[in-house]
Amino acid sequence: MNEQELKNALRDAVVASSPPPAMDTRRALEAGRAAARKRRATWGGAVAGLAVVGIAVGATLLPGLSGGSGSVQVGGQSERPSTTGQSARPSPSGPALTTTVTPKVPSGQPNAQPGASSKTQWPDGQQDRTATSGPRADKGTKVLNDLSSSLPPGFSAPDKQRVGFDDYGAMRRAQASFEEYVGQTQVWTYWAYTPVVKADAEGVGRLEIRVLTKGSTELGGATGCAAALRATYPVHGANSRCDTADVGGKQVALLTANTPVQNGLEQAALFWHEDGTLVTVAQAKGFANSGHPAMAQPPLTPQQLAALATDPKFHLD
Amino acid sequence: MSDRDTAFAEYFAARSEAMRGTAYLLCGDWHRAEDLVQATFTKLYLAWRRVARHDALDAYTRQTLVRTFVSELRRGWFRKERVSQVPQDAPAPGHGSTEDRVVLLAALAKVPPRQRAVLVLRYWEDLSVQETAKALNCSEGTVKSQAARGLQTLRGLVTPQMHEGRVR
Repeated sequence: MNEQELKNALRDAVVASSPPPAMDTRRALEAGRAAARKRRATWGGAVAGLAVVGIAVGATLLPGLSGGSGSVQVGGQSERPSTTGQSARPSPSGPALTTTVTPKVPSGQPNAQPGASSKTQWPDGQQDRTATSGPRADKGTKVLNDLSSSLPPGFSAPDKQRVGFDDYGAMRRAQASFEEYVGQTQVWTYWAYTPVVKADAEGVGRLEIRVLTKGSTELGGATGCAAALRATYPVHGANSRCDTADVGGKQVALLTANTPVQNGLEQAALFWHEDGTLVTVAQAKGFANSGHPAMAQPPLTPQQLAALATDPKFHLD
Repeated sequence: MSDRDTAFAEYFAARSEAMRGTAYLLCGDWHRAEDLVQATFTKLYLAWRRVARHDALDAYTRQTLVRTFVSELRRGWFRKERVSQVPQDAPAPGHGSTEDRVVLLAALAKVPPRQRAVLVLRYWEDLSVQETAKALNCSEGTVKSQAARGLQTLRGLVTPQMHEGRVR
């Protein structure tokens, strides 16, 4: 295949695949406007936070400059709970500035992302969304280990290496990442995936879990199949269908791709705990971009997948 | 509708189809392609006042699309945008050689993401080496080597699977 042949082949591939109808301009515009609103809200929160800090600093410095004993009240907001979560108290020693800025919690804006305006605003002193050490990161690792130890007899989750796909990173991985503040509550995602093999059988499958802690605004409070079909796809592709599985009286949305797309996961079980924590467990016969052949069947039966989603050990905060 | 919204809507109507074709070749799936295009145009909307009158608006949009694609590969499925509420049915297979299309897309998917992006930009978008390097934020030398390596990989994957004479 030379360059010209590739050009022709690419053109044929697009034309012959019968593209779906044109995308909806109105929807694109709405998405843009929503993103703009969100950005304004974030910046508004940041500006308000700075204003509060400024007033509080004034309250700190002014008594010292005037030689007062600290009885002068300036900038009353510093005495009230800050709506942005930032606070500063006048120092009893006068001008020595001991203002403390804590991570911003924009209680008035449930969708605002504190980390969007400054690196220092990620929770718990993080430099970005992902916790690389500490209790949150440990919890992510535990999710991976718990997932691996939950496999049925005859299956295991070895730490396999990719063959010829080095760019794609480790096949076994865990991650804890901050999602959003909702009021004072931090919403986190614990995400882990692992290769799965069956004893005395060929092939490597994939098992994946995501725990989205309570309070998330991601799906607007929806649950069940209605939400599963609205969610970003753990399972995507044409003709995805959603069934409800019963696990000891608990209802689990079971999403199955009838025509899995390449590299996509094939089945996912979504379970909402009563407090809103969402556990999604997904699987595929193959592990995409690993260089390993796929298993003949997915690692778990649909019922086993659903049961895993309801397992209390994945009910995290 | 504001001037910005009107101009953005017109640009989307004019260019989203082409961008979706590029996205399709990058990811091999129309649904994901639409999601990629949606994410790209959302970013574009936010930057619209800054870039709208720029001569290289298409290049900016394409660059955003490709970088969004490469970036999304490192993220979980739950961080991807979804543009349609419910997955649509698969389009009916078109005329022409479906097998060849499937083989090509399957082979493209096996080419590492950045090499794939180079191939799509160079041979689908017809960008120059310089333009491709700018879109991918890398050197021209890297583009040349990635294109050569990508073509070699693709050749190794496609040729054995297609019947002789069917490769166009």
